Amino acid sequence: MFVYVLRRLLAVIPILLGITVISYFLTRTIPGDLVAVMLGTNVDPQVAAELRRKLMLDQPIVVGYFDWLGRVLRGDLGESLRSGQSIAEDIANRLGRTAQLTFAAMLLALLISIPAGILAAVRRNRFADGTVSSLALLGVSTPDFWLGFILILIFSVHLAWLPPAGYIPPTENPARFFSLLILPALTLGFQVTGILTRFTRSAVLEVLSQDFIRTAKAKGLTERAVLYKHALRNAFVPIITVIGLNVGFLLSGTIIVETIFGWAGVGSLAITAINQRDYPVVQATVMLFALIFTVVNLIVDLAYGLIDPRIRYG
Amino acid sequence: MKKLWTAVGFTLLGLALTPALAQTRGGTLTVAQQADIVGLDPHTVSAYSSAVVVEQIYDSLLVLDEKGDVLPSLATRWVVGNNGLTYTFTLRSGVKFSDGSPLTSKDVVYSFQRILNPKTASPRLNDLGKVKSVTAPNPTTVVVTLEQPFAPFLTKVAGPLMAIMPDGYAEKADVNKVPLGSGPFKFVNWVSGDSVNLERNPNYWEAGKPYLDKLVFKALKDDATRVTNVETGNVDLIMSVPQNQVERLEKNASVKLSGGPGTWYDYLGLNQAKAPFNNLKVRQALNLAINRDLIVRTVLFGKGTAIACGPIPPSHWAFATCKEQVFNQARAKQLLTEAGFPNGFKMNIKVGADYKSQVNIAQSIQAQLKPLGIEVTVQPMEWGAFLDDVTNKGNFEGVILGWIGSVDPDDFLYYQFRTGEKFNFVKFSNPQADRLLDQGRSTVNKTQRQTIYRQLQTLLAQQAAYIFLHINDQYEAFTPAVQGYVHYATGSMRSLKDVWLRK
Repeated sequence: MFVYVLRRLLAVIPILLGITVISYFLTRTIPGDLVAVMLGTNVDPQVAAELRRKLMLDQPIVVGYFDWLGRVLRGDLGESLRSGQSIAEDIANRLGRTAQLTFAAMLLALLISIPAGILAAVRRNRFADGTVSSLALLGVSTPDFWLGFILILIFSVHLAWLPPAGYIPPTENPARFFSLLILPALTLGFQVTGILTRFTRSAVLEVLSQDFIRTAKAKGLTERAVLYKHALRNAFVPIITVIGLNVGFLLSGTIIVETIFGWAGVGSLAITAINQRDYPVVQATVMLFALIFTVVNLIVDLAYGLIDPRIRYG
Repeated sequence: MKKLWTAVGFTLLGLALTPALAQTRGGTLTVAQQADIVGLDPHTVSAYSSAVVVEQIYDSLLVLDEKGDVLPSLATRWVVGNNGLTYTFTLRSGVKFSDGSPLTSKDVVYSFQRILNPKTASPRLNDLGKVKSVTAPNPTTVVVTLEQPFAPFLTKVAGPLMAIMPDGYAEKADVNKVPLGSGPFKFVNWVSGDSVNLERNPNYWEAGKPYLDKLVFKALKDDATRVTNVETGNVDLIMSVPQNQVERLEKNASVKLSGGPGTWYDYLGLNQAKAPFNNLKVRQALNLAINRDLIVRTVLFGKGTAIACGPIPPSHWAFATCKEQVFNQARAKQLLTEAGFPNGFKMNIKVGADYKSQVNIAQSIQAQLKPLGIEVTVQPMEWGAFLDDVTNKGNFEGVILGWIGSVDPDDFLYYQFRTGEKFNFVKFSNPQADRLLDQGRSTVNKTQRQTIYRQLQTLLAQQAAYIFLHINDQYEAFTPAVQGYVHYATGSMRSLKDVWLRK
C-alpha cells in the first residue's frame, strides 16, 4: 500500500512537468504577448521594447522556460508579470475560495444525485425514474453561464433573497458567506448533479442485473437488504471513479462561475492570466489544477480498497 | 444685463446654499468596474481600471474638468513663455502628501524625470513633447523647457497619470503596490483579485473634501453581473454600463444614471497598404455606403452620435463639420465602378471578440455592404491575437476599433494619421495632412489651431483616412443614496471626491 502510494505520487512529477511544458509553450506561442496586451492599441515601440527587456520577454522561449523551471524547482513561483504580485501569495489567498466553492458544489451534487440515481434505478421505467432521468438530462445539458444568470435574475433581482455576487470569508460573517455561496455552488454543481445521477442510475441497474443479485433474492433476502448490502456496495466503485473525474470538471467550471459571481478564486485568476498572457501565473494555476486533479484521483483509487476488499494495491 | 446679474446672484446664492443643504460626511462607497486593477504605479500603468484608482490617490500639477478644460490643481498658476518653449508653474502652498510630508518643487521634478527616463518604460515617455529640462529654481516653482513648441503640453500635464509622487519614492518603496500621493484618498490596501481599499486623506488640501470615509474599488467583469449588483444595492456605483441596459435602468427607480457622449469613438479602419483599399475611390465608396445612423439606432440602442468628419466630438472646440459623407448608395456604386469594381469584391473585417458592440458593428456593416456586391467576412478574434495582427503585423484588411480618452486634438489625430507614426495602423499617408498635423502641434494660439484642425479633419474625411462611425455614450449607474456624482466625458472618476451618501 505504502509503496503503491509513493509510486503514484512520484508519477505526478512527470505529469506536472509535461503539463507545464505544454501550457508554457502554448501560452508563449499563441499570437500576442503580454506587452501587446498591456499597452493595447497605445503601443509606443520604444516603450514596448523597454518593457519586453524588463520582463525578459525578449529572450528565446526555451531559455524562458528553463529560467522559469529553475525558479520553481527552488520553490519560487515568481511574480505576476502584469501586476508584480507574488503568485504564491495570490494563489494562497484564492485557493481557499475555490476549494469552498468546489466542495460545496460537489456536496450538493452528491446529496442530490446518489439518492436520486438509486431511486431511478430501483423504480426503473416507472414515474419516478422518468422524472429523475428527465431532470438529470436537463442538468447535463444546461450550460453554467446561462444557469448562473437565470438564478441571479430569479433569486437576486426578482425575489431579492440572495446577493448576486461577491465574497466574504466564512470566519468574518458566516451567514453572509453562505448566502453568497448558494447561487455559485448551485450553478457549478448543476451539471455534475445531472452527470452523477445518470451514472448512479446506470451503475446500480448494471449491478441489479447480475447473477449474484438474483441469487440473493432467491435465497429470500428482502429488497432492502439486496439493495444496501449487495447492490450499492458493488455499484459504488464505478461511481467513485466518476466522482473523481468530475472534480476536474468542477475545477474547469470555476473559471466561468467565479467570473459570473465575482468569486475571486483560482479559476478567475487563471482566465485573466490567459487573456493577458501572464505566463508565470498561467503556469502556476495550471500546475495547481493538475496537482489537485491527480491527487483527488489517487484518493479515489485508494478508496476502492475500502469499498471492495477484493481490490489490492501492489 | 440686469437679468444676467440676477442669474449670477441666484447662482452664487445657490452655491452658498448647496453645501448647507445636507452634504453628510462619512460612509463607504463601493465602486464596481469592468476589470481588475493591474498595478498602482501612475507612471507605468496604462489600464483604465488602474487609472481611475490612481487619480484618487495622486494629484497632477493641473487637472482636467468634466469637459476636458485645464484647471489648477497642485499648480495654482502657470506662465507660458519664450514662444511656447518654457512653462513656469507656481505650486499651491501648504500641500502635503498623505503621510504628512510637504510637497515641493523637488517632488515635481523627480516625478517628471521618472516619466521621462526611458528605463522607467512609461507609456507617457513621449507624451510631453521633446523636453529639454525640468528644473526647480525654488521650492514653489517648476520650470519645464521644451526643444520645440508643443501645443498639447498643458492638457498632457493635467492627465491623471502625470502624477506627482515624493522625491525618491520609487527607489524606496514598491510604488506599484504601495502608492503615496497627495490626492483626496489615501491608500489602505490592495487585496489581489478582490478590491482596492482607500480612505479619506486627512491631509488633503481641498478644505472639507472628500466627504466619504472609505472608497472601495472592485472588479465585476461580467456586464450583466455589474448591472444586477447595482440594481440590488450590492455595490453603490458601477462603471461601464452596457448601452443595451441604459433604457431599462432609466425606468428603474432604484438606480440612477449619469452619462452622455464621451470621447470613445468607433471607426472602420481600412489597410491602405493593401489593394483595393489603397484606391481612394474604393475608400470613398465605403464611406458613402455605410449608414451610420442605422448603426447607432440598432447596435448602440440610440446611445451614440454618428460622426462623419473626423473623430472630435461636437462639444469640443476643434469639432469640424463637412458635407462630404452622407449616406448615398447610388454614388457609392458609381465610385466603385469608376475604381474598377462594378461587381464589388471580397473583404475581411477583424474585430476583438470581447468587444460585443464592435462585433455587432462589423455585422451591421457586413449587411450594409452586400447591396454593392462587397462580401464581408467578419472575424471576431481573441484580444491578444487581434492586437498582434493589427498593431504589430499589419495583417488585416478592415478592422473595427475605437479610441478613447483623447482631450487635445493632437491626441485624437497626430499618432493616428501622420505618415509612419506609431498608431497609424491603417498606413494612411498624405503630405498635406502631415503638414497640418505638425502645424497644429507647434501652434500655441487656440484660434489658429481651430482653423488648422478643421481643415485637417475635412481632408481626412475627403481622403477617407478612417471610415469614422460614431461617438459612444458612456454611462455610470448608482444607487439613489449617492449624491454629487458628475460624469466626466474623459472617463475620469475624479468627481468621487465630491460624492456624499444620503443617509
